[in-house]
Amino acid sequence: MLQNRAGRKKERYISIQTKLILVFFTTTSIVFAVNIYMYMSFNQMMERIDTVYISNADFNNLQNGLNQVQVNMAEYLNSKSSDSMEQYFRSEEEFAAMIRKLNDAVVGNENMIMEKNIRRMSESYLELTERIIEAKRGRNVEKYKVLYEKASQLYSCINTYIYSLNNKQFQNNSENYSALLKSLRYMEVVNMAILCMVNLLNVALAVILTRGITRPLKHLAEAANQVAEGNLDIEPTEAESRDEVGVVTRAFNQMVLSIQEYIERLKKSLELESAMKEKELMMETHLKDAQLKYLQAQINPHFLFNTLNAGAQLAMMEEAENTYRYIQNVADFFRYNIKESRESVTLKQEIELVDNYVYILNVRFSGEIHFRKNVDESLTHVQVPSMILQPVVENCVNYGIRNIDWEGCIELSVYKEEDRICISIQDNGIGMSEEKIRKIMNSRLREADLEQNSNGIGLDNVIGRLRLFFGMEEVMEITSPGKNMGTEVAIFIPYKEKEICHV
Amino acid sequence: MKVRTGEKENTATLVKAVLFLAALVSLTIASLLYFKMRAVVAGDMEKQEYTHYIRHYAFIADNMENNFWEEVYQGAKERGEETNVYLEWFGSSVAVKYSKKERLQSAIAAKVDGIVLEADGSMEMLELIDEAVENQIPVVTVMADSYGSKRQSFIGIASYNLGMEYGRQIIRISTKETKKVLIIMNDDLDDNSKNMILSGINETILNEGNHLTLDIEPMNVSNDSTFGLEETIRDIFMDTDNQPDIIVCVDAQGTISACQAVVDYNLVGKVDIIGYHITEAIGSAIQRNVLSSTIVVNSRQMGINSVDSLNEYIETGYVNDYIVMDVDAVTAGNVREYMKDAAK
Repeated sequence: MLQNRAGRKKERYISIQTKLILVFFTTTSIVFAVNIYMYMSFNQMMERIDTVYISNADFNNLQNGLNQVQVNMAEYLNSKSSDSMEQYFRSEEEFAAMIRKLNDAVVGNENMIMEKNIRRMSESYLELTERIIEAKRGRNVEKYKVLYEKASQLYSCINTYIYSLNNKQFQNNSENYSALLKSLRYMEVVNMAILCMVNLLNVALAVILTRGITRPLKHLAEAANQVAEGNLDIEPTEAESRDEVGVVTRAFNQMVLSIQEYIERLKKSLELESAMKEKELMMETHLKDAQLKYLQAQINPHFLFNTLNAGAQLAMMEEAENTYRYIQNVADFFRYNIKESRESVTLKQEIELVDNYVYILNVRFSGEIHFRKNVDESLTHVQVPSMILQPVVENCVNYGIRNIDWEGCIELSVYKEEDRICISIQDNGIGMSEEKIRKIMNSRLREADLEQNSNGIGLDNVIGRLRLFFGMEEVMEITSPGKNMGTEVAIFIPYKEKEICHV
Repeated sequence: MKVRTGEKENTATLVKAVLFLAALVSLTIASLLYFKMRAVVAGDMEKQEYTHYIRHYAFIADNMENNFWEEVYQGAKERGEETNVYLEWFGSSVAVKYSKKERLQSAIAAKVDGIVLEADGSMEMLELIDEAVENQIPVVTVMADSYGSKRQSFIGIASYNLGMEYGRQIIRISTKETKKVLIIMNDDLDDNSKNMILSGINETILNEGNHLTLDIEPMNVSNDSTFGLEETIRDIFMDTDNQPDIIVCVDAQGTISACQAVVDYNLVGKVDIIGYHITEAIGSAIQRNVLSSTIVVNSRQMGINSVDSLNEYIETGYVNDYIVMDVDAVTAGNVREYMKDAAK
């Protein structure tokens, strides 16, 4: 079935070359045929003209033949030589053959009747000459003389007849000749007219036939122009012809369709990709959330807190005031960790934790650290992630002022700066190198770089949580003027008036 | 839908192309046919289909210009056509003007199937007729016979009867003053005929017009030389002392010449003419009273009879030896009827 259809399709396909060849072949063969016909009829005409005077020539020959017979007979009668006799017989035979070609029927035409008369008279004449020859041979002088007289008379009579008929024929032939010439000239005119006509019609035919070839091409060109201008939304061009143009048209239609489909597919895949990216981002956020929770869980020393609480009660019972205060501070410090294991706390709670921490350190290191606070109380209600200040202060103590010869000092300032709140922790320790600051800011400080006595929460952790919490990059700035000239860690949080007033 | 439109357009193109082709071919064929027609009209050289005849007769008479013989020939020719016989005025298509005898010779040599001959009483004629008959060519003599020959039949006016009719006409127009009657006789007539005519005239006048004293004078005119007859007749009128009162012409050509001479010499009414045969000129001469009367024989019937006789002889082997034709006199009273016939 399919093969059959393909076969039919193949049958229907006619290439442009074939079509053009057909067109040219048809037109040229018409012209050729007409030309051939004209040439042939022209030739025929020329042949007829050539044969016009043939009858005259025939009659001249006839006359000559008759003459020969008469002359040869007379010659024989004069000489009686076998040579002349032979000649006579030859000429007689020739003449007899000639007269046999003449008309012998009684028909209603004067010339034909004349021809018949000539034939019959010639026959009589030949009979006579035969008798003369016989008489001559038989030496019948009287008889052959009389017969010769008679034959001569008949000879001249036949001659006159032939001459007359020849004349008549010549007249006829001349008329025919001029008539033929006339029709020849007429034929030339007709031939020219036919040729002109055929040529004109041929041109028209070629135009009609080639239009069938060029029209689909024109349509295709228009459609292609539209596509070139960017208008892909066009009607499919009809593939009317069964040639190469048809093939190209169908391919063009298919191409336009394919382009449309491709654009559609591209659009869809772009949409899909952006959705995927969104999902990926969500996943990342969730992961960060989880990480935050995990980090908070890391610094949850439950057990230590309970133990310390027991110690504080013991100091109270023994009335060791300082010990009790110390243990109470330590307990508060750890309780904060348990209690504030939620996501956000107020800045004030954070500052209290720093107070606890500095007290504990001062007890440990016998009041080495001078801690000053310069806090704008109106800004302490802002929500911040928990455990952000204490690691910074711990950092100041561990790396800034631990091993210095002079008196260590830490200053905490909270103030408003344009549209943000700035929390600044400044020490007068050994300072920090540029490289180290860059490493901290880019969260590249590895465990190995940290000293053993750190309680685990590094600055990179603080920075990461601040960034996630506030959704901005500029959350911390570390500046150090130089070696032994101290360090300042500034934390920036966005200032939101509403939030503050509401609280 | 669109494809169908395309197919329709293709079909339309095809139809147009086919129409153009048809127009082209038909135009060419039409032009060529037109040309062929014109060419055939212009130069008809094709062998035509001629009527075929079963026999070929030769007609040999004095000359073609003679009205009488022309009519005999026409009658014979028409009869020939009817009976599928080709009648040829023998020698008419030859450039040389042959004598009757020469033409008879050629006709014998040409082995025609039959000869209609205006004979004469000469010996050569007789011999030639006999030669023809010996060669199985039947001969019918017309108007003038060859006595003693082996001819199959003679169709003619009995010369004596003719003379009697002339005699009656002479008596009719003669008055007391009428003295001299000149009878112009053509050499074509043999002596026997001439004598018969003369005796016919003489005896009729003797029997029916014995009150008249007429001097009847025959005059032989040779027809051999060109215009001989015409000049001889004119000579008669030139000789004013010896002018005849009545001139009798026994042939058509002589009649016309005499009439013309009478008019030219202003002798109408003074010299009466009795003619022979009727043509348009002779008829009008009678109407104008230039000619008193003319003796006619039904020349066409004569021609018809001649062909019939030949046919009869060839088909049956027998034929009447002598067929006589009647003669009539045409005068001013009955000329109209004959004129109609002549006009035909």
